[in-house]
Amino acid sequence: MIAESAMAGGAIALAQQDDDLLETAVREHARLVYRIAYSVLRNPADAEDATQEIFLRVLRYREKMAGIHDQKAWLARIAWRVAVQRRKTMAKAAAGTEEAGKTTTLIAPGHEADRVLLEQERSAVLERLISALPAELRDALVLSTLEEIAPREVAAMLGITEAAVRSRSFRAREILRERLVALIGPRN
Amino acid sequence: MDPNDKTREIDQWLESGLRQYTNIEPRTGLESRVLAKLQAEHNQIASGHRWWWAIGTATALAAIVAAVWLGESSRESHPPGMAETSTTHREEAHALVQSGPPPQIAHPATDVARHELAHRPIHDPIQDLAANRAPKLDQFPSRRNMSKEESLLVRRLLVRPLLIERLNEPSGEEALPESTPSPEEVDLSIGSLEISPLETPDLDISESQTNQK
Repeated sequence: MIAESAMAGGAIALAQQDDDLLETAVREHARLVYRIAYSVLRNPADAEDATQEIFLRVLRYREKMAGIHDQKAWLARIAWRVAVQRRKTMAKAAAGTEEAGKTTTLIAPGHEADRVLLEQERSAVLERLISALPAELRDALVLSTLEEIAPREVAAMLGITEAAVRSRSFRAREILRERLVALIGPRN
Repeated sequence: MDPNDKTREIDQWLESGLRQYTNIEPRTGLESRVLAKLQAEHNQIASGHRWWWAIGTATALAAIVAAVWLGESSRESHPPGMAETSTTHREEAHALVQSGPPPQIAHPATDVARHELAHRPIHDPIQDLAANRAPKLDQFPSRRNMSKEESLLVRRLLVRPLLIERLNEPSGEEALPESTPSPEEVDLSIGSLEISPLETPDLDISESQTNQK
């Protein structure tokens, strides 16, 4: 009887420990998870939904959290997988609606209106150019630009070597630069 | 504009654009919303587990009750008498098998017949016994418990014995035609009657007269 109560108490303590770990993970890495989701989905509402879904998945496997060495990399991998899966589902559901992924930026006070508009235009151009990149180059470039993730973690997320990540990122930048020169050059 | 300056400007624009591409801040309170959602899901899972436990316990109890009830009903349907007879037959069959075929007496006249018998298909004695001998009951028809209606009737008859008497009495008009023959069937011819004279010995008369006196 005493052993049973001790076991039950231990189970409750473990569950409590898992819950604490999960809460800590949410507080520390929710922004990173959101950014990864946003980099794939390009929509704030979808990115937040994806963030909720990612942490719900983590809740189901929270017993494993205690044994995971690098929780940030683990969460980043889950976030990437969930976001890519969601993007595929959304692409099937809303095929042909190009405007769905557009973001809106509020104009901050103190900025000149023409400058802000120019920045918005540039962002829209860059977004179009990035989305036109081949998927393997785009993924490597987008994940490399995330400051929180090291190239080693990007390589683990994509299932390629670190050198391949650098190479793909470099090639993606070169393509973007060429296209930008082609776009802006004649005007200037 | 110098081409080098143009290239540098494009590079700067690309770098800043890429930084902005992923450097997006979520709406304030993202962590709280995520935690609230997790708490709701956690509660739902816990209540789901509780339901599963309740359903599982109820199913297990129902299974136990059904098993007990089936056991009781099967015991009632197979009275002990029948079980004894069946086991007795089985034991007899095994005894027959173990004892083997009965000893045969050598006789020249029966050699041919025995040869024919030897080539006939051999039957399993256990199967033959089982097929030919139906289990005999100690009592035929087999005893069975009274139904509810029968037991109620018996109780009523025991409480009211007058009712039994009335039931046993033949009702006048219905019983008469079957028990007594009709007047046409009775032979009333007097001629066929022979009345023999009474033979009374003297001694007997005197004794009876003295007794009367």
